[in-house]
Amino acid sequence: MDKRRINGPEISVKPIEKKSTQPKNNKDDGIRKNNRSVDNIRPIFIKPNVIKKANGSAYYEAENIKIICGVYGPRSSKRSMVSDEGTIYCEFKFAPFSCNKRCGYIRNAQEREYSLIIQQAFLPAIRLNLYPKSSIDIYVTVLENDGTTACLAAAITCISIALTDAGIQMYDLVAAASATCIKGNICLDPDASEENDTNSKFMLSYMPSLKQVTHVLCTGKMEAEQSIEAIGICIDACNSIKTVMDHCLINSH
Amino acid sequence: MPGETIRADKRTSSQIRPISSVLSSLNRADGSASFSFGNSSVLCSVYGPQEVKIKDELLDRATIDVNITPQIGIGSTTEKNMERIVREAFSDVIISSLHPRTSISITVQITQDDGSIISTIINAVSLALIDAGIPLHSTLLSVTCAILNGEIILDPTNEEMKDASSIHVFAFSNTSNDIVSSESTGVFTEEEYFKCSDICKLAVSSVLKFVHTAIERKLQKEQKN
Amino acid sequence: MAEVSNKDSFVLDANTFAKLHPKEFYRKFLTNNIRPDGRLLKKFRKTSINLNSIKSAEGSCVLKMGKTSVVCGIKAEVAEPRVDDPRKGYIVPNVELSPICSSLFKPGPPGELAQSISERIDKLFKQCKIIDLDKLCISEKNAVWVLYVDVICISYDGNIFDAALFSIISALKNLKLPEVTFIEEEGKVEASEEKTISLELLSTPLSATYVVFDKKYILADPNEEEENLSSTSLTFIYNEQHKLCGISKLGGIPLSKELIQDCTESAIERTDNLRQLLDSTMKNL
Repeated sequence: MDKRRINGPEISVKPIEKKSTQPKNNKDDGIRKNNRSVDNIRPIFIKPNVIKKANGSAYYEAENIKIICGVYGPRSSKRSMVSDEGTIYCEFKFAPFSCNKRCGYIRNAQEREYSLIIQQAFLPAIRLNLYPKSSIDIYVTVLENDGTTACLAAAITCISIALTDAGIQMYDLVAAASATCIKGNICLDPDASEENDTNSKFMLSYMPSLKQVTHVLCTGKMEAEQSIEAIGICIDACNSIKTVMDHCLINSH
Repeated sequence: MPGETIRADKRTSSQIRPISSVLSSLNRADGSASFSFGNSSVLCSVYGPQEVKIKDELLDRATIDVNITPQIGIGSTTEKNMERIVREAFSDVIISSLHPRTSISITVQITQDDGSIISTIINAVSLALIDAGIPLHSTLLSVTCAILNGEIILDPTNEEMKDASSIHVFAFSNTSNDIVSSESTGVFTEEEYFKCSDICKLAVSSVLKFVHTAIERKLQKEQKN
Repeated sequence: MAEVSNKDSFVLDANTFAKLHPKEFYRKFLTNNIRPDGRLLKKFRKTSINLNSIKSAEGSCVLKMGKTSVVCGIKAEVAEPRVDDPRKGYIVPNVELSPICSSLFKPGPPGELAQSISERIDKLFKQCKIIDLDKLCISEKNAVWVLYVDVICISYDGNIFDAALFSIISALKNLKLPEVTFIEEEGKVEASEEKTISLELLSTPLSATYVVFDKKYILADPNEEEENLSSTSLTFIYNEQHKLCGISKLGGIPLSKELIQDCTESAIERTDNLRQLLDSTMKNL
C-alpha cells in the first residue's frame, strides 16, 4: 500500500489474450515479421526543445516508440560537491502505461540498470572536466515501448540531441543502434514481438565522427562471429542515424 | 425554528454540535490546543518561530510547515490534501514577514473523526497559534455544511456526509466579511454555494464568541498564578 | 571622501527588472489590463489535445496548455471486486510530477502538490459519478476491471490541475476495452485481441483555475511565475449541465462574493470551450 498515491486493489492482472486463429500476413520466406528487411530501422523523428523548464530536451518518435528526455545542468548537487570533474546522473523510467504489461511507479531493477548503461555510454562523450562540482541530470521517460533494447538505443540517441540543446560541451554526438539474432541473421531495431521470440539482445553506442564505440551491450545466446558481425552492422546503422540527428539539429535552429 | 427537520442526533439543521477546547495542554510545545465539534476532536501543537532547515529557508518570511496524522495509521494522500489547504489558508493569516528565516511547525493529531474534520483542524490550529503567541492578522475559524436531500445542514457527522449531495467547508476571519478559504465537493449550484457561505458565516461568529471566552478564561487563569 | 556621482536615473533592462522585482514588473502590466505574456487577464492559454497516440495504453491523451504538457494513459487490468460491492470496478487516478518537468520536483516519491492533486481528482470521481462503476463488472463477485489512470507531467508551466483533469476526461472518453469472458473453471479472464468496447461517461466535469494577484487582479490560467507571485488560487469545476462539481479556494486572501461570481461566468465559458474542443477532436479521429 503506497501511502503517497491513490491505491487500487492489491492484486490485479492483465487478461489473457486469446490467440488469434489466423496467422498474421507474412512473406513465406520472410525472416522478420511485418515484411521488414534485415537491416531496416524504423523511421525516426526527433524534435528538440520541448520542455520549457529544462536546460535541454528532446522528443523521439519511431513508429511505436515514443520517448521524451529532459536535461538539467550543469547544476550543483549533493553528489557532485566534491569532485574535480562533473558527474552524470541519469534516471530512466518507463511510464506506467508504456508497456504491454503495466509498470509500477518505482524504478525496478531493469530501469536502474538502463540508467547506469546510459551513464556509461555518455561518460566518454561529455567534456566533464569543464564542469567541476556540477552534475548533469538526465531524465528519460518512455511514453510508449515497442522493444526494450530498441527503446534503450532510442533513449541514447534522444539524450544526445537533448544534451546539444542544453549546450553541454561534448566530444561528439552518441548514436545507438539495437539488434537481435533471428534465424541466424542479425536484424536491426527489433520490435517487441521480435524481442519476445528471440533471446539475444545487442545494443551498441557509437560516436560517429570520432569513429569510437562508447558502449556495447550483448545479452543472451549469440555466437562469437555473430556478435562481431553485429558490431559492424550496428556501426553502419549508427552512421545513418547520425544523418538523421544532424538533419534534426540543423533544421531546429 | 418551525419547519426544520430534526436530525438523527436531535439537532436542527442550523445547529452545530457542542464545542469544547483545551488550551496549553502540552507543556513542551510553544502552543497547543485541542478543539472538538461534538465527537470530532483534534489536538494541535505549534512550535515556532524556531530554527529552519537550510533547504526550506525563506529569506523574507517564516516557513510554515503542517503535518496532519489521522486517527489510525500513517497519513495518506487525504491528509496531504488537508495539509495543503491548512498551510495555504494560514500562510496569509500568520504575519510571517516578522520572522524571516525561521520555521513555524504545526502538528495536528486527529483523535476522533466524526465529520467536519477539516473545520475542526482549522479551528484547533487557530487556537494553538494564539496560544503560542505567533503574530496573526486575524482569527481564522471554520465551519462545514452539507446539502442533504435539498436541505442545508450545519456541521454534519460522518453518516450525514456519506449521503450528502455536496459538502462545503468555509473559513472566515473576524476582520472581513469575505470568504477566506473554501473547499466544496459534490454537485451543487452557485445559489446553493452562496447560501451555504452565508449560513456558515453566521455559525463562525458563534464559534468566534466561544474562542474569545476560552482565551479570556485562560488569561484569567494565568493571571491568578 | 570620494564624491558621490550624480544621481542619474538607474535604468534596468526589462529582463533584469523582471528578475529583481517580479511583483513590480507584473504590476506595471496589470495596471494596463494585460499580462507580460500578452494575454488579457481572463484569457486562457491555447489548449490542444491529441488522442489515442499511445497504442500500448487502452486510452490516452497528450495535452498542451500553453507550455504545460501532460500525457495521460489508461491501462486496464482485472481484479477481484470488494466484498461489500461485488459489482463495482475501480478507477485509480494518479498524477506524477517528476523531475523531468521542472527542477522544482525532486526525484523520489510524490511530493505534496502531486498527492494533493491526485487526492482531489480521486474525490471528484468518488463524489460526482463520472463513470458508472457497475459497467466495469466482468463477472459478479469474481472479476471486475481496474482502470489505472496515470497522468505524467512532461513540462510544468503552472495550472497542472486543469491540465490533469482535462487529459483524464479526454482519455476516458476514448477508452477502448477488449471484450472479455470469465472462465469459471480456471478462474481466469480471457480477452479478445480487438479493443472495441468504449465506456460512456455519465458526466464530464472540467475545471478552470484563477489566481489572485495583489488582492485585486484575477488572472485566469496562471503560468508558473504567476502562481509563485500569488498566494491565493480559485478553481471551479463545472459539468456539462453548468452545475458545479467543486470549488476550491486555496490561500488566505479574502474574496468577495462579487469577485467569485465574476469568475463563474468565465469558468462556464472556458469549460464549454474545452468540451467543444474534445468533441471536435474526437470527430476528426
